[in-house]
Amino acid sequence: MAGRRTQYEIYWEILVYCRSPRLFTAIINRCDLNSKTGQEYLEFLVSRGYLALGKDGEKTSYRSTPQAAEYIALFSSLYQKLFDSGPGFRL
Amino acid sequence: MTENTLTQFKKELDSFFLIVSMNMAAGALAMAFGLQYLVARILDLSVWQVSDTFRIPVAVFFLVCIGLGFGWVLSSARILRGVKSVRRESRLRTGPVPAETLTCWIVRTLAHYRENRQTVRWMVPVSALGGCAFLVLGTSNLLQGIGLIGGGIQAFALVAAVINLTIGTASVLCTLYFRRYSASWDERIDGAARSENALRCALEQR
Repeated sequence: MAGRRTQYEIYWEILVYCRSPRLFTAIINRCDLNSKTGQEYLEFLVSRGYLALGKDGEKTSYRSTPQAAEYIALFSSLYQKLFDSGPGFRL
Repeated sequence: MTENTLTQFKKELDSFFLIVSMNMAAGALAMAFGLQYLVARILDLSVWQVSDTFRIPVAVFFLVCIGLGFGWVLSSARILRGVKSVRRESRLRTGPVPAETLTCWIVRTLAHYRENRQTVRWMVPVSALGGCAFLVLGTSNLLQGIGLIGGGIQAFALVAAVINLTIGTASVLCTLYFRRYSASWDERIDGAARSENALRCALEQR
């Protein structure tokens, strides 16, 4: 996903993508991040218990924990509400 | 909530797609008119019947038209590209749309708007300016067509008047819709910023 995203949108994207175990390179490619910022985001999510580390052969994989579901649900509800309130736009 | 949100989201995307397409067409026509004049000058065809005194300023005006039209088309195309991919996905999707997919489309559209916010805001005056130029041109064509300028009814000028007045009106309408679109999405960007607090709390409470 390209464009200018907030850090919370990036966290959400990573957590949704990591519902299946994913490798670091797959995550940064999918979420359009460079390795430095990608590493920072992943470290934060791992430190808070939203991502769990696993092994995929020699490599480390990341998987969303059940706690991540709470954040994902809250995020979805807040973002969908953006369309329920406000003037909206139509021709 | 998802079904209503989805319906509104799709309608907004369709409306915006239509406006940007119209805007792009107006930009392309502005460029085409500029090119038409310059090519006519180069080939030394006196289609515009402009006296020698005004040739240079008029040529500069049309060169500016080409530049503005080119920039206008490019900006519209850039905006359209981001919206097009989300719109295509949402249209191709059959059956119920999971909340997560809808959220993904919303995030993509918000990210796209954030990136092109300034361009969309610029579209308002550019579109208005282009629209006014077409309306002035259309009015002068109309006066020429009905014989108030130059004498005698000229069918070609009347056709040009209809085209220019239509494009001018469409561009002015685009201006109004761009303003509404911009206001609506600015509010959503602000809403997303306000919800950051709740998201930060949710993330950091652990």
